[in-house]
Amino acid sequence: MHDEENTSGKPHSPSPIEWFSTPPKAAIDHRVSTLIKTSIGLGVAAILWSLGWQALAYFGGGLAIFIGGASLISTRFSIIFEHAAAGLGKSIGITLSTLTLTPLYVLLFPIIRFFDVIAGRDPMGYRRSPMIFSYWRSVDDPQRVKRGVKRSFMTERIDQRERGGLISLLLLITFALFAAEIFLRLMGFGHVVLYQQNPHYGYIPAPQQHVIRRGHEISINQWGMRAPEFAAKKPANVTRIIMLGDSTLWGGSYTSQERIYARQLETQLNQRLADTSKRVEVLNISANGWGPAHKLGYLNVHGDFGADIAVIAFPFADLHRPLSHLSMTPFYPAQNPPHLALQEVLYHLSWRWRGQLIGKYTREEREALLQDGVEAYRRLAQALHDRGLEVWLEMLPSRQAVESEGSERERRYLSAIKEGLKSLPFTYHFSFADHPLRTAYQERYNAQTIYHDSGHLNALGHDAYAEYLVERLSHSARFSLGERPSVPQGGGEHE
Amino acid sequence: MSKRPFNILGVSALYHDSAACLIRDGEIIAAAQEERFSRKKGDSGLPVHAMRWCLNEGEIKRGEIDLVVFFEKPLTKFLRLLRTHTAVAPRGLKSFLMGVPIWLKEKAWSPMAIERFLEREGFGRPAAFEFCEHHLSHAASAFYPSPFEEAAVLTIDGVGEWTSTALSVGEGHDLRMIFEQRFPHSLGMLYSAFTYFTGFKVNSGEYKLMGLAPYGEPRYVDTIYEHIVDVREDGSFRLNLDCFGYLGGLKMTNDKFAELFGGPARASESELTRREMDIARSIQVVTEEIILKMARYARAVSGKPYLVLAGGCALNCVANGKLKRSGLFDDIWIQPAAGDAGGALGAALYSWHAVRDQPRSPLNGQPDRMKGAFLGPSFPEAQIQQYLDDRGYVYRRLTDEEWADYIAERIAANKVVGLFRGRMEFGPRALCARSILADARSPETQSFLNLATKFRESFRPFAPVVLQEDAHEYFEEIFDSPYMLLVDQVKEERLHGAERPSPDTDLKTWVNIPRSDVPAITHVDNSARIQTIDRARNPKMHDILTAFKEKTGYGIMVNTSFNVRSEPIVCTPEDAYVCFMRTGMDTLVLERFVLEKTEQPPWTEGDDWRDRYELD
Repeated sequence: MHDEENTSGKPHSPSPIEWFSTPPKAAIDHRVSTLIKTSIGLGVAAILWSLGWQALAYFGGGLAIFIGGASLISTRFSIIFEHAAAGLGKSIGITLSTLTLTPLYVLLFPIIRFFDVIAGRDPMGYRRSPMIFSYWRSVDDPQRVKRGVKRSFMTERIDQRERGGLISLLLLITFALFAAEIFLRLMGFGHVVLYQQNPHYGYIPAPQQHVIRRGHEISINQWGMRAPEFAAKKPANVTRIIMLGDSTLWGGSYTSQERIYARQLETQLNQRLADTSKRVEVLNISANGWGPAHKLGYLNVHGDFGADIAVIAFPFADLHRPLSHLSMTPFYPAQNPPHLALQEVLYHLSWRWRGQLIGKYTREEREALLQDGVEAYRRLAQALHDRGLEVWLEMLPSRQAVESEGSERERRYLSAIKEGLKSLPFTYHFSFADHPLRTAYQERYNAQTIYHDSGHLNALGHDAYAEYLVERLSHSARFSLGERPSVPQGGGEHE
Repeated sequence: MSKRPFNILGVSALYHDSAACLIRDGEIIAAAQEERFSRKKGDSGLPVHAMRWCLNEGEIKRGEIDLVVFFEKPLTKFLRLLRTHTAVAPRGLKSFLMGVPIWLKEKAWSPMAIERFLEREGFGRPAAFEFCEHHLSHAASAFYPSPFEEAAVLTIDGVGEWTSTALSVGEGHDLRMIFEQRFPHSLGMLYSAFTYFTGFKVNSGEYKLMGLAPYGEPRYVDTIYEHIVDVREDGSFRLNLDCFGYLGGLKMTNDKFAELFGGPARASESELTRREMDIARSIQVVTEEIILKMARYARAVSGKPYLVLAGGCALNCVANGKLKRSGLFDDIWIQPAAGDAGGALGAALYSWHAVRDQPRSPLNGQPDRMKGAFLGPSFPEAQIQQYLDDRGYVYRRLTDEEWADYIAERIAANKVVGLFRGRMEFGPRALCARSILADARSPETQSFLNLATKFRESFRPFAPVVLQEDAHEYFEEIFDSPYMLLVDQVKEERLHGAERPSPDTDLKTWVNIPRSDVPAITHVDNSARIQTIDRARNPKMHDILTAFKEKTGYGIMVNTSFNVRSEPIVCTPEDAYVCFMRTGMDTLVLERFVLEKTEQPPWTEGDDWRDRYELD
C-alpha cells in the first residue's frame, strides 16, 4: 500500500516562512533590548549610590554590566538570564501571592461558609431530594443580558431561594448586632466620658460633661476634673487640699462620684470643722491613665489653685508611665464621640490589639521609665514645695500588697521612690511601708472587699481610704492653721 | 455616500480553545482558532494570531472595529471561583492559590489586553466592548447560523460563568434563555470526570472516551444513577458532589468515586482494561439518556419543531445521532464549532442580532449560514507555488479536469492522501479542507492510519465522508450530516455479521476484525461518524468522491484530520508539508499541486518532533 521513502536529493531542514500578509510585529532587536535593560540596571545602581548604599550599588551595577555584556556576546547567555529572571520573578510572585492570599483564605472564607450554614444556604447545591421535581432553574430576567452587555459581570436578579437565604442571613446578622448592642448597653457601655488632648499634660476629660455610666453619674467640672466646681482663687477661711492622682483617684465609672475618697475626705474634714468658721476644699485633680508627667504638666499650666496641702496619690504602676497623648489611650476624643456601644467596644478592642502589636516594655525599658517616673515625682514634689504647699505622697498599695507582701516589682518600686525622694530638702509625708490599709483596717476590711480589681478600690475601699486619709491629714499643721507658712528649709520625713 | 458596514470582532479566550471571528453586518467573514496558528493544541492564550488574521482577512483599517465582544463575563466567572471556595473552605487552599493569582494577573484584565493588542497592531481601539454570557454565546452560535427560523436551543458544556446547561428559545433574531442548570452540576464536568478517571486528558480526551465506549458493556449504569447523578424526567440533574474533587480540589474525582468503580483512576498511557471500556460505555449511556430527556423537555416547553445544539457536549456525536434518530424534533442542527471556540462566533452574532435588533440574512438557497464552516485562512496558488519552488520540493500542477480524478485514483490505489485546499475549517472537525483521505474499503486502513500516520491509540475509529446522495446506501437513518457530528449505524446489508468478540479480546485484534464492506469506517459496534458531502458546501470534495465512485463503485472514503496525535490540524501549506513528510502519507495535495512522498527530498529534523507535542 505504501511506497518506500525516497532518500535521494539534497538534505533539507525547514525554516519558517511568512504565510500571512501582515506577520506579527518583530520584537525589538536583541542588542538594543539588552542595552536598554543594562542601562536600567545601571540607573538603579546610580539611585542606590545616591541613597548611600554603595555596596548594593556596586553589586547591582556589576551584575547589570556582567549580564548585559554576556548577553551581547551570546544570545545563549541572554536566554539563560531571561529564563533565570523569569523563574525568579515567578517564584517571588508565587511567594507573595501565597503570603497574601493564604491568610485571606484561611480567615475569611470559612467565616462565609459558616454564615452560609447558619443561614441554611446551599450555594453549591449539595442537597438532592426525591421531593424536588426538577433541578432546572428558570432564568428570571431574559432581558438582563441586553442591559448588561457592557458589563463584565452578570446583572441577573438573585433568585427567590437565594434571596430568601440572603435575607435570612442579613436578618440574622442585624438581629445579632442589635442584641449585642442592647446587651452591651445593659452592661453600661455606650455612654463614654470624652477626652481632650493637651500638649502639656497629655489629656484630660473634656470639661463640663455629665455622663451616666453603669448607673453612676460622672460630672466633669470646668477644669476637666471629676469633682464639683471650684474657683481658681481659694476663698477666705478655706483650707485647700489639692489631690493629684490617676484612675485610682478618679474613681472609675463603677464608683459613685460622692464615694470617691477625695470627696469623702472633704466631707469628713469639714465635719470635724463644723464648729469653726473654717472650711476645707479638696480638689480632685486626676484622670485615668495619668502618670507623674501628666500631673506635673497640669500643675505647670493651671497652677495649684492656692492650695495649702498637696496629696500626690498614686499606685506603684504610675511610676513607669511616660507622658502619653490621647491616641495612645482607649479614650474617645470629644470631637468624634461613638454612637453605639458596639463602636465603643470595638474601639477599645482595637486599642488592645494595637497594644499587643506594639508589645510590652522590656525590663530594661521599664527600669528606665521607673527612673524617669521617680524623677518626675521628685520634681512634682519639689515644685509643690516650692509653691509653699505641704506635700504628702500617698502610694496606694495593690490588692496583693494588702493581702500579703505585694509583688517583687511593687516592693522594688517602693524602694526606688523612697530612694529617689530621699534627697528632697524639705519635709514631706510619705506612707506605704506599713500598708495602712492592711494593718490599720484589716480587722474591718480585707482586700477582697475593698478592691475593684488588682489596683483600684471599690466604693468600700474608697470609704476605707478616706477614713485613713482623714486620720492622716488631721495631724497636718496646715489643716489646723488653714494658711500657708513660709517655705520650710531642708530636711525630710519618711513614715 | 453609503454607510460603512458594522464590524464586530468576537473573541473567546483564556480557558481552552481560544478563537476569534469577524462579523460584518451579521455575515460571518472569518473565524479561526488560535491553536492553528500557534501550533499549540487547544491554545488557551489570547488569540492574537487569530484576531490579527481575521481583521486582515476582513481588510479592517484603523478605527473600523465597531465592537469587540468577549464570549463570557470574566468577573462573574472570577466571583464563581471565589464563591466555590467559600463552600469548601478551609479545604481548597491549594487550588485557590493556583487559581486566584492567574485571575488577578491575567484573566481579569483580558479585555484591556485585547484593546491594547488592537491598538498596538494598528487597528485602533474598538468603539465599544461588550460581554456576552457564556451560554448565550453558545446558544447564539447554534441558532443564528442554523437554517431554522425558530428553534429550541440546548447548550451543554462544562461551565460558563455559572450556567452549565441552558435551554433557550430562538425566534427570528430574538434569542432568550429560559431555563438553566448551574455549576457544579454539569454534564460536561460529569463526562470530564470519567474522562479523567479512565486516564485521558480533561478537555481534550472526551472524544477518546466516546470512541472507547463501544468496546465496553454498560455494567456501571446503575452505579452511576445510584451514586453519582440524580436525574429527573425533564433531564435536569444533580451530581453527588461527595464523589467529585473539582470543588476546591485539583482532581476531578476522589477516593469515594474510585471505590464505586473498583479502584483508582487509570494512569495516563497505561493499558486500557475491560473496566475502562465498561466505564466508558456506561457513562456514554447515561449521557445519552440525559441529553434525550433534556431534548424531550426542550420540545415540550418551547413547542418548537427544531432543535439546535452547542457547547462541548454537543460534540458527542453518538448522543447527537440518537437524538436525531429519536424523532423528537423534525430536524436538528449542531454548531460545528460547538466548543468554546464557537463562543467567539456566537458572542458576535448575539451582539448583532439580539442586542442591536438586527434581522438574520435570508438563506438564499444555502443549507445554513455557516458557509460549510470553511471560515479560516486559504492560500493563493502563487504563494504555494513560490514556497514549493523556494524549497525545491517536487510537485506537479494539476488541471481542473485531472485534479479530482488524480486524487481518487491515488486513494483507489490504497494510498493515503493529505488534502489541503480552500479555507480552513472552523471547529474541531476536518471537513475535507485539511483532511487525510484513505480508502474505506481496506481492512488495513484503520490500523495503518492510527499507528503509522496519526501515531495515536489503535482503538480509535475513523470517520467516513460520503456523498450525500449516496448516504442512504451506507447508513440506516442519517443522510445529512455535513459537519461530521452525527453517528449512525452502517446499513445492515453491508455488515458481515461479525460476532462481538469475547470481552478479553485484545483491542488491536478487535479493531482489525472486518465488520462491513467499508471496514475502515465501521466501528466495533457497527456505527460510523458520518460526514455527508453536498455540492453546495464543498463542490471540490464532491468531485473527488464522485470520481472515486466512478472508479470503485463507492462514493465513500475515510476522512481524518490532517494532523498527528496532539498536534493541531494543519493551517498553512508548510504545516501540511511538514506533517506529510513526518507521517505515512503517500500523496499531498496543496490546492492544485500534488506532491508524492517518493519524489521528495529526504526529511531530516534535529530532534524527535513528537517530543514537541504534549500528549492529549
